[in-house]
Amino acid sequence: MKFPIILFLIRFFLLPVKGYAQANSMDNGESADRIYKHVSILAADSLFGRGTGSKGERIAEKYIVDYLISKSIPPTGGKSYFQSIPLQGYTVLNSSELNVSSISEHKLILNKDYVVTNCGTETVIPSYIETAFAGYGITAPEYDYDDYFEIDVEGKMVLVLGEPQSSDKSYFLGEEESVYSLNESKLRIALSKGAAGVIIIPVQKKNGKAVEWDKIKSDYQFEEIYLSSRMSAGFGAIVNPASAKIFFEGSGISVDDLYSMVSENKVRSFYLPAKVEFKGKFSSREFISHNIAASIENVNNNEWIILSAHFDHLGIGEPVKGDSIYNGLNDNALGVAVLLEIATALVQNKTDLKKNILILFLTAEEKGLLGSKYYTSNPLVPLVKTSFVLNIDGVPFIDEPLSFEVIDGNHSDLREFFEKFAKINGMKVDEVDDQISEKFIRGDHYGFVQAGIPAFLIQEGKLPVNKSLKEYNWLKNFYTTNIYHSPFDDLSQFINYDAVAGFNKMLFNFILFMDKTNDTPKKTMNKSMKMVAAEFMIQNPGYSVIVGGGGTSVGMKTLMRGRQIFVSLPDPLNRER
Amino acid sequence: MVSQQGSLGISTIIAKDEIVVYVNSANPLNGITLNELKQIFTGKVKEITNEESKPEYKLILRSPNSGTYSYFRKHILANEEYGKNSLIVNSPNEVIEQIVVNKNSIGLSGELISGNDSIKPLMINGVLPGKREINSEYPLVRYIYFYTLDLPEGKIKKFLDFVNSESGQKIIEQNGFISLWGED
Repeated sequence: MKFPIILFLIRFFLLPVKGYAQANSMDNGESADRIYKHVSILAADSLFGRGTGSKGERIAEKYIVDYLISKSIPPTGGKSYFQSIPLQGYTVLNSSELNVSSISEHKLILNKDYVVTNCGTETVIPSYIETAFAGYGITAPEYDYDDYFEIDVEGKMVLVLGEPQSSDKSYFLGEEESVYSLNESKLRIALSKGAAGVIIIPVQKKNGKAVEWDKIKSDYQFEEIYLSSRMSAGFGAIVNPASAKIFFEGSGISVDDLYSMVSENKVRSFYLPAKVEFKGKFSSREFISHNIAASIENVNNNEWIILSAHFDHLGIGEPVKGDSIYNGLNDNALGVAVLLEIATALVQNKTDLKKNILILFLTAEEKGLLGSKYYTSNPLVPLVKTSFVLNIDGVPFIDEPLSFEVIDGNHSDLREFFEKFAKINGMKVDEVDDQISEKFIRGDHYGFVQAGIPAFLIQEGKLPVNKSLKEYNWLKNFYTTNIYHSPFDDLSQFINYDAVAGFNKMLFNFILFMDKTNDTPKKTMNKSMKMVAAEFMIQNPGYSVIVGGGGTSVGMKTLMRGRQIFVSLPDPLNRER
Repeated sequence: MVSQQGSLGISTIIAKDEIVVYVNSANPLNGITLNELKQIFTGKVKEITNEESKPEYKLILRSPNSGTYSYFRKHILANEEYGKNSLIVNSPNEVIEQIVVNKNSIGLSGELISGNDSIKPLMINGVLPGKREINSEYPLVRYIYFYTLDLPEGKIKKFLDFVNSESGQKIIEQNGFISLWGED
C-alpha cells in the first residue's frame, strides 16, 4: 500500500505553485509519446551517433531548430538559433611511431600498446629523449605532496601512475578520483616542470591494480576535438600496463614493483635508462559546429535561467558485435527530448513567467564539454544576469524515481532550493557522498560552474517506485557496464518512457518554482582552499600550479613566483554573493 | 614560456600555410618524396642524380631563427642537422634569388611565388603546392598560431574572434595563407 500512496502523492501533489492551465500538455501518456518520437529520430542509425562535426549532428541540429520554430520558441537575440563554434579535429594514424630504446629497441603499436591522449603536430618528439618515472606526477602543495621534489624532468618524458589513495576522504578525495587523476592535470603539471610529455600507466585507485585495457582503448578510439584556443600542446599518452615494462628495462624495477609501491604507499620518483621518441602522424580537419539557443523572454526582467542539454554523442566507432554506431539514446537524446518538452510547456506558459529562460542545446560535450566552455566565453545572455543553470544529462529511464540526487559539487546553495521544492511535493532527496565525482566534473554543468555560475544536475536517487531495489540496482549497473558509451545505447534497449515523462514533469514544475522564487542561488565561497586550488588549475589552463592564498579577493593573479601562481578566492564575475 | 612567464601558454590556431620546396627551372627534377627530401636536406644525398654530371645540391636555407628553418628541421629532418653544403640567407626573397642564380640549388620558402620562370616548386609525394585549399593533401602544411599567456579575453579575445570569423578568414586567404573554417 505504501508505494501507491507515495505514487499518488507524487503524481497529484506535484503541481506548480500557482495553477497553470497546461497540465494536460504534461500528461504522462502524451508526453511519453512525444519523448519517444524525439528519441526515435535523434537516436536512429540514420544520424550515425551525432558525432561532433558530422553529418548526423547537422541533421540533429536541423531537427531541434525545426521543432523550436514549430513551437514558436524564438532564437536568442532574435537572429539565429546557431552559435557557431570553430573546432579542430585530430585523428592519430596507425603509421605513428612510439619507439623506446633501452636494453633493446621497441616499437610500440598504437591501440595495442598505447593510446594518444593529446593530439597535434606539436606533440611530435622526432628524436630520442630521456625518461623518468615521476610517481603519480602530482604537485599539490595543499596536500603537502610533490612527486617532482627531487627529480629534474627538464626535456624528459615522464611516466606516471594514478593518484594516492587514502582512507581519509579529505586527502586526495580518499578512494575516489580527484582532479589530479585527470590526464590533463598530469600533462599540465609535467609540462610546467619542463617535461616534454607524459605517459600514464593506468592503475585503479581503489585497489591499486591495472585497469582493463580494452576499456581505455575504447575511450580513445574517437577523433580528438579541440576549441581553436587550447593549452599549448605536449605529448600525452596512456600505456597498456602489459606493455609498460618496456620503459623500465635496465632500471632494476618492474611494473609489479610499482604496484607494490602503490599498495604500500611507497611511491617514489627516479630516472629511467630508457629513451623514447614519438613520430606522430595525424589527419586533421577544421570545421564549424553549433550550440543551439532559443529564449522565452520577459522584457520586464533581466534575470536569466539557463536550461541545457548536450545533443552530440560519439558518432561512429569500433564495432561491437558488428554494430559501429554509438547512438547515444540515453546519452543524451533523452535529455534533448526532455528539454524540448519543457521548452514547449514553458512557452505555452510564457505570460505567467517572471524570469527569462534560455533553452540551450550544447555540442561537443563528449569532446570535453567544449560547447559549454565556448558558451561561457561567448555568452548569448549576460553571465552576471544568469541566475543558475539546470543541465539535463542522464534521465531516469528504468523506473519512476522515489528519490532524487542533486549533483552540484557543493558549489552553490542550489541543493537547498531543490530540497525546499521536494519537501513541498513530498519527494525525497538523497545525500550524495562524493560530490566531486565523475558525475560532477564530466558534465556541462561543470563548464558553467567553472565560469562562476551556479549549475547542477538532478538525477534519479537510490530508490525506485515500482521495481525492487535489487532489480533497480542491477539494471542501473547493467546500463553502466554494458550500454553506456557503447553501440547498445540505442532504440533496442528498454526505456520506461512513462518514467521519463514523470521526471520531465517534475523538472518543469521545479523550473516554475524557481521562476517564482525571489531568492537567487548563490555560489558558496566557504569551501576548502584545496578544492578552490584544484578548480583554479582547471579553470585557467595558462597556469600550472596553484597555492591557496586565503584572504579576501584582490584579484586572481596576486603573485607569480617561477611557475607557481598564488591566488586568492576567485570570483571571476566579481559579483556580490 | 613556462620558465620565463610562469605559464604553459595558450595557442589559438588561425591559419595554415605551405612550405614550398623550390629548385631552379633548369633542374630536371619535378617531384620528390618526403623521405628523399630528408635525404637531400641532411646531406645524405649530395648529388643531383638525374643530371649526367651529378652536381652537388646547394641547400638554400633561412636563418636558424626562422620558423621555416626550425619547423622543417623538427618535422621533416627529425631534428637531424642540415647538410653542410648550405647557404644561410635572411629573407624568403633571398632564397628565391639564390635559386635563380644557382642551377643546383634547392630551397625552402613559406611563400608561393608566381610569375618567376626561373624557379619552380616541387611536387611532394605527388602533390603540388599552391591550391591553398582547406584540408589539402599537400604534405608540407603547417599551422599558424597566436600565443597568449592565458585564455584570450577582452580586446585580445575580440581580435582573435575576428581573425577566426568569416571576415577574418577571408583576409587570411587574401594574404596567401590557407583559411581554416571557410563559410559556416
